[in-house]
Amino acid sequence: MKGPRPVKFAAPGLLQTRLQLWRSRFIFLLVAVAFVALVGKALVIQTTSKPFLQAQGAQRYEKTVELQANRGRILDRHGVVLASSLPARSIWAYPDRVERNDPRLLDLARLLGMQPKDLQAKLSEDRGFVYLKRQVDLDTAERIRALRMKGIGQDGEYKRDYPEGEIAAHLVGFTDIAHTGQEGMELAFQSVLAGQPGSRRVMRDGTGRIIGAIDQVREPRDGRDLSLTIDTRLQYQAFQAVKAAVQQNKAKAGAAVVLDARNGQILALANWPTYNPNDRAKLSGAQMRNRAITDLYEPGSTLKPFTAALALESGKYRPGSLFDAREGKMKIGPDTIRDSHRIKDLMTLEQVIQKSSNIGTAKIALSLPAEEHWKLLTASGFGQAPRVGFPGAAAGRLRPAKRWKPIEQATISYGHGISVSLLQMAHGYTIFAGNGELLPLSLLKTDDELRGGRAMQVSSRGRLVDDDTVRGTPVIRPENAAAVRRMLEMAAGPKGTAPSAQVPGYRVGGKTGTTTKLENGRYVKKYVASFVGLAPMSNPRLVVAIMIDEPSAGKYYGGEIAGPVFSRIAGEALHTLAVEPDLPFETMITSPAEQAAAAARSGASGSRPGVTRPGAAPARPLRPAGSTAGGSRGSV
Amino acid sequence: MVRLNMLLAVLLMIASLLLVTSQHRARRLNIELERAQGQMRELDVRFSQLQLEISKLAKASLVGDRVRKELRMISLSPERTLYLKDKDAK
Repeated sequence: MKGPRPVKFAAPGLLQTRLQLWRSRFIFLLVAVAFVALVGKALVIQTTSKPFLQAQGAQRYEKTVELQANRGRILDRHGVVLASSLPARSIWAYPDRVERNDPRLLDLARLLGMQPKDLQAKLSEDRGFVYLKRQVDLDTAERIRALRMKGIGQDGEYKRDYPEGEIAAHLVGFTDIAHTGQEGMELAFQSVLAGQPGSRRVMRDGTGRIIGAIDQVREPRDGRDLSLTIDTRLQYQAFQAVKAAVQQNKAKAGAAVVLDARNGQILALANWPTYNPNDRAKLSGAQMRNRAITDLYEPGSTLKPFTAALALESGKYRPGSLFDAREGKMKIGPDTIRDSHRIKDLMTLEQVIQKSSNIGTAKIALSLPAEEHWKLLTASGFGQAPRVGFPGAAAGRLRPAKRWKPIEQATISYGHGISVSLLQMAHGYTIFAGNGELLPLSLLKTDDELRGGRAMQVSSRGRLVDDDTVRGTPVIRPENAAAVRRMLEMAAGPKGTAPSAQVPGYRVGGKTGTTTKLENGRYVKKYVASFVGLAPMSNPRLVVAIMIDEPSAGKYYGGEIAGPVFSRIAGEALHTLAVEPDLPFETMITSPAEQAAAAARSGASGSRPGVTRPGAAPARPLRPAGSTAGGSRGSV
Repeated sequence: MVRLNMLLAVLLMIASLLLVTSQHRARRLNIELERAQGQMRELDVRFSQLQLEISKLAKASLVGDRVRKELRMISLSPERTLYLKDKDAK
């Protein structure tokens, strides 16, 4: 058996074949060229493409973070929040990524407060991206996030909250979805309230965590808070009173303005109908109108005190000057004017106002130059938009005196042929409240805030130093203002047109107004009942103006309709502000000290020093001595 | 010569490792800072939320209604009020 023949691999010849030299050189050259190419590429990258590549790199780790700025809050004079912004989320979806028969869709619909079929409809829209709901509160948003649904996401945004709701809706206004003021103070002071969002560039790691700041591009600036002169307590009282009066008299609308008679600050400004600024799904123009500021009406008899002031200023008349209106009508050119109530005797100037005689005021006006009349009305703020920084404040209509015909001058003297807003009316009455000066209106606690100075802070006790330093522009002489005050008090007295305006414990004064409305140039049987008054008369603290539009429950006289509203608003406001009564009234309580003294002496209880009882009537203790003041029930 | 090079190489390695760890620590601290700042913002929000809630719960309309209905209180009137004069006032 033969074994395999051994092969000698190392036999010379096969491996000893010499390679041609050019081949190795060729490879070497190839590698060298490749290296040169690499170096060249590196050079190109390092020089010409450098900016582009660096930008690309930065894009992968850099991020610009938006820094939200808060919108300022709106506060009342005591720091009660009227409008405040809270973070919220908007819920959105990529419809094509959402699984349509996911059972969690029902939960989502419930959380969003939508019908499941409405949600399906939204998801069926032929769009890449839809908002399911905006301004969802954070708790709900967290629950939605916990559903972990595909294609559903959320973004942060802000929601404006108005805790006082419909009570201060017209005044505060509201913002749109983008947080821009649309109405009221929100619109008027948009630039002050709005914050300036900032941004900064940061570095983040692969999981999106921020690992370092690169630079601050812009510092965010929060909006400033706005402190109004409004007192929410008075606002609420005025609102309730107007609402009740409108409903009781089946009226179309109503408004009330309360001013501080000492400095012209607006304490309350209420309107009805109103709306809820937190839910503005169904809003009508009628609901949104701030009637007290934007609506014009003929003031009627509420303008008569200005005619009386004009008469006194002229020096031709005194409060006791006599007028004859016994005929009940008066011809001026082709026209005839009438009194609504026949007056059988001669009247003094005071009685002209008390009885609200059109003829009396017309006679005054016609005996005085129209120019003077116009000047007084203009100086009292009529015919010009009040400067309160409120959007859409109406100027009213007061034609220049040169174009007045005699009949016009006569009708203007009792408030026809001139249009005013309720705020103007209240403003005008400030000339009777003090020394005959027209006080500047204000709606903001300090102008300081607007000039960018220090933001005014309310002290922790919520007390404010009353600003008595406000000086107005003199319009009438102080003694004439006092004389008109007496007339106003008579008008609201038992023999006047508005005894219903009286407030127990306080001397009040004011003038009623009843006008028919003009529609297409003709007076129609639709009424505006109004009342403007002061309280308390011994040292006026408040100016209250009320207007009820189209009462239709039978009554329509200002004295019957607006008078009681004044009584209610002024009464509640005076108590809230702790103004001391200036009228004697029968008190039902006595101080413990007096009770003890009365018990000891058994009768004739006298005043103790330090305790004032304006009431002249004898005190009747309700409870045995030793108990604290107060009735069997508490009081608010 | 070779030894010196070796030593330098080792030093270089150590230095670079230290650089990496310190950078890592800086980043972690930064994350911590960001979280704390986030918390601060959250608390800020919570604060204004609570302030708003105070205003909502203390608003005149709500208090007025409840006090009238539940506690059966009535509005103040002068005849039920005792007016005290501050002796120090002018």
